[in-house]
Amino acid sequence: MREAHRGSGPASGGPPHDALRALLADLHRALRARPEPAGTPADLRAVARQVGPEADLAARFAAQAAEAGATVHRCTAGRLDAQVAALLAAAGARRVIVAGAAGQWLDPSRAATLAAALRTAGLEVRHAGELRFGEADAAVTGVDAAVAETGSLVLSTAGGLPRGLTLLPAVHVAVVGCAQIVPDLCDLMDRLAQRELPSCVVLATGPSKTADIEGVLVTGVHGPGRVAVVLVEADGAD
Amino acid sequence: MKDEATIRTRAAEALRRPAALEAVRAAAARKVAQRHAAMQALRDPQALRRTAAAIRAHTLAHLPGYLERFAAQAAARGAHVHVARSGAEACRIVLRIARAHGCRRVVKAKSMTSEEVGLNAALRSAGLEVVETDLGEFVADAAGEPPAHIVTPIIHRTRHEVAAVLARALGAPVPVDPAAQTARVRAHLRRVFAAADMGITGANFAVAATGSLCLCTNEGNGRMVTTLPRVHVALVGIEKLVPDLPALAVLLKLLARSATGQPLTVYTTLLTGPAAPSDPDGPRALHIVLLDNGRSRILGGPLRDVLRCIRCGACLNACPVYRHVGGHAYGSVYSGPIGSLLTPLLAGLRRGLDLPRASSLCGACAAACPVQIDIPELLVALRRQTIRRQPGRRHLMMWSWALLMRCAWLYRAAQRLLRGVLRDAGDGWARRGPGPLRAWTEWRDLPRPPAESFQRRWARENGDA
Repeated sequence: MREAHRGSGPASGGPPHDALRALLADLHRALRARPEPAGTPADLRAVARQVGPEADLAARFAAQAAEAGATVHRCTAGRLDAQVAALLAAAGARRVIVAGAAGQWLDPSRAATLAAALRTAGLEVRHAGELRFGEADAAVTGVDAAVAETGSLVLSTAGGLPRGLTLLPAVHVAVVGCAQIVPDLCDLMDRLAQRELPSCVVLATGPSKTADIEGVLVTGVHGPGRVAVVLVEADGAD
Repeated sequence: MKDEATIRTRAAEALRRPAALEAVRAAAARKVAQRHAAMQALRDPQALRRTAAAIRAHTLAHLPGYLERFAAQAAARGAHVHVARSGAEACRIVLRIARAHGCRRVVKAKSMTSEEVGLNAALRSAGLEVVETDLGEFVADAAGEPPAHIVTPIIHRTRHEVAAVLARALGAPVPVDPAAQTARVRAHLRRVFAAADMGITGANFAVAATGSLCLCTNEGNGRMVTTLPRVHVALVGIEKLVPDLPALAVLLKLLARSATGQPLTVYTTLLTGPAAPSDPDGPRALHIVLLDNGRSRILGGPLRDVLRCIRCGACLNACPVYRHVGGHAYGSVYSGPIGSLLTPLLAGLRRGLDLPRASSLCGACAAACPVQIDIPELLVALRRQTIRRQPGRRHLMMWSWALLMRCAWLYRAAQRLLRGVLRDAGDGWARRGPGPLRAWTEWRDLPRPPAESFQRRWARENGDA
């Protein structure tokens, strides 16, 4: 599918431009019939912002993420390998995918180091490309960013990682550098608006859940049932 | 009168199942408390609501421009953009897409728009296999019934009923524990996802500046449906547009808080175009179907504000009528206060005219609405619009009443007549009137009028004529 299609393609019955133009004409007519002045709302951020940059972002993020049902663990860079190994052991995960991406705190070289350490600890570590249904017990990944206001992890296809990586395994361990935390959803959207968006950006807040049956909260519906966030503090020697 | 009987008869039927209604009441009460707590935790919730309302009003007032921008941006990122003026056309377009891509097995994330146009039925009768993947929708679909609530489709079902429905659908006995039931559905749907070739979703918002779709889910089925199948079709009402990402942030802050009390749903997914050629997974083709189906007509009418709705369900949870009769009593895809407006409006006032009457105009809905839709005012406006379509008997009643009010001697004569016909139950209260008064007194007790009206007594005691 090339960009030149510009809205037409094998599955459109007739030029959709005509259909769109007809709709737009009707909408213009409808609005002229009842003109109502509605200017652009003034600075949205002033009203919408919940968390400012002066807040203790790591603490706020940790509290929100925990409220959403994730577990949050803080450690220094030097203790990362041990922390992740402990989390995976606690979750009973044996087959693990470790994946980092450029631009994340857990970049490809740190991810390789972590993968090696986990292999030494006796785990079976695979690559992201080897992901199959139910074959990986856990995924250990970095994040593009984290949002303190909501306790969310920002995961995207920007690093060339599959969408299914943070979706299919039952356990997700997310490694977040403290400097990656933005205060507020407004800040995240501003950041996303600055560059071309990747095809898929997910704000993940806690484990997958539902309360459809009698309002009883159940986790692990389709996405990971267990989400552990490792917050890496900046330490002197990295 | 016939229209009025419809919601009443459905409500009467619903009232015969007190257990289901108790579940509705309990869940609604819980949601109201959660929404309240979440809104209180915001820095300035009323200012946020005002801003959200302003964003929605602004977008609707400039809808053609934003739609055009959205279509251009989405197409530039490789999405195919279609326009469906009616529900039937939407179904035809989706079928055409399925045929063009050779798709037979469809998985769906929850989409009210797809229910509105009857997409499942259209696809199934064309021989496609369609599976709902939202847990509540899966159960409702398996039970052969429509969802009972915009956000929580099986709010009225017990775990035992769910176990029975699932046992039939999965062909094996199912425990009554909700966690175990969920695990069974998860396992079943993993297989279904793996085999599916088309995923269909709605969209909570469509961002004009970037040509992106925003999907908000808790379960992860929205992500599954847009990751595994090779074709993704999104059915999007034209009113779902937002100008840009900063505006989206404002609305996202209110959506989940209003619906379930969470700051955000577990997964907020922003999709822009199909998967890039270098992406390891994701749909190779993205088709966005922009749906009109009456919305353009509403835009040109006095009830335009109804299009601001972001489908949070807060008005349902707040509404005393909804809490007492449940969603199915409304007989339509959209229930509760917003449904009482949307159903007749989308149908061009050809059906659902009984719904705007089913309200005491208490205003709980307007107070809960994150985008400040003045639902009671719109209900009254809709009642006014439908007044010409009322049965003759009601016109006669209103005409008679107006006549009595204008004509003093006729009024006094009517008073004397009323005193004559209202039977006293012995304690000074009249509980049952004869003939046409019978229906009116079924739910009302009147104190029996005294022997002498105040005016006559005054005249007598003060010697006036």
